[in-house]
Amino acid sequence: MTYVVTENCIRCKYTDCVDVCPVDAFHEGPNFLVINPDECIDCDVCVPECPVEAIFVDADLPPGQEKFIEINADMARQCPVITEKKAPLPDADKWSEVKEKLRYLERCG
Amino acid sequence: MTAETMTSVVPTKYWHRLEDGRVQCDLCPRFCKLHEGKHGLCFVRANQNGKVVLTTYGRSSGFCVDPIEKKPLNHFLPSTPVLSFGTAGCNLACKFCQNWDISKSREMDTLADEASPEKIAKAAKELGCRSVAYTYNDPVIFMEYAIDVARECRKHDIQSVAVTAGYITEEPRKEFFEYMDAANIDLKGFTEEFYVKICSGHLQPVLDTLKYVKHETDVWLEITTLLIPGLNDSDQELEEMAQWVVENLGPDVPWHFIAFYPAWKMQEVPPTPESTLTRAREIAMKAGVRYAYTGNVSDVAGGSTYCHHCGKKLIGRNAYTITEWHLTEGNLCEACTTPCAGVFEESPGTWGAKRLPVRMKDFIV
Repeated sequence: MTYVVTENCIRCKYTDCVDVCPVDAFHEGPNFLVINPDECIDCDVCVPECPVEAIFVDADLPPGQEKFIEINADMARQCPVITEKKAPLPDADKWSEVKEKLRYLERCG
Repeated sequence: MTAETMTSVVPTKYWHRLEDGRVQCDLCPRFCKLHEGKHGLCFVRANQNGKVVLTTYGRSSGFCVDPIEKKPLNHFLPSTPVLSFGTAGCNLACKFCQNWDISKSREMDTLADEASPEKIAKAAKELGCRSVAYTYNDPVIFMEYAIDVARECRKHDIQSVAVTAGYITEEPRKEFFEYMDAANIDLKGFTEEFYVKICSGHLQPVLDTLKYVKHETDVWLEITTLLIPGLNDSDQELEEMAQWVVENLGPDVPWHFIAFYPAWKMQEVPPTPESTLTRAREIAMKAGVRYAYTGNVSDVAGGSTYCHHCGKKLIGRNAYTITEWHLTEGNLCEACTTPCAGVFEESPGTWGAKRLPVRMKDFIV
């Protein structure tokens, strides 16, 4: 079990979740955040922070979001840890309304 | 065990191993699941060698002698001195935390003062304290240390006071409160949404703790609600909360309404006006709460204790100083002999409003 960042985060990256994580489990991709499953302690504290409700426990993912389990684990190995909140991406508010954003996902490296 | 030989890492009981190799801490309803070497949200409980340990045993973020009214407890040995201490960390993450420098500290530097349970109990005795309070951060996360201190204190006839949010699961709840003589438990709001979004917890376990302490233990119980403008201070929420308190805890549990000051992650919300505290107190009393107080503001009427039967002022208070005392034979109203609920003696203590910081290294056991 772990918590997983899902599609809604893509091109938004609000980072409110980063600010509350007690174990620095978030990693930062170019336009997406992920949770490192080896660090996450399932404490649930990040879930209510996300303004676009992108974070779910892996056992209770919305339909179609299952692939993000692997995406989080993969990107956590490739992307740097982020421990402090920063400004969201410039068009975050616009992109927060958009569905089907997986095609825009950018990876690290 | 002396401070010199004391280890700050001790085993704990409330956890179990998961199939995926992690261990789950079962102390609080958060149930953190920890890989080897990781700590929980509270920062102080961690998985070391496949077991959950407490890492801050015997370490404190500071000691201070306060009036018991400051905890706040208004019906427990009034005007007696209490030796207060806390450690670091917390199992909630309230955005309005008024003690965030301690509760959210990740620095062991916060825990500069070392003290064995024996030393704390003896220091309390030497300082003339009637009780020791586990406070500033939530004592449930350091329960192994708090319980050992409480055990030592009992040997010296010193009482133990828990100041807590009550966010704890059933089994450790029983063990923890067995060693407490009085408790002030926060009821931070009365909606699940407030507990989830503002405190990162849930409401029901807190209600369960309140009912447990009131009905299943001999612990003297008082409640505190910190009112935050626009977040938990509506008439409707306060009325529902007051109704729950009276129906589930009865009319005799004293209830303190205290003011929020901008802190931690809630800097944009204005401080709570005194009128809000007064309104909350009135709502509580209208619902049947016999002893409701406004705290941390200067309000003589809202800080005093009145006979619920005849209305006579029983204990007059100005801030933390007692100005009038009209109880007789311990707890009876001087005018009508109706008992006042609480733990009282023939006369109040004489500590007053003093605050005395204490360094444990000044005490030699």
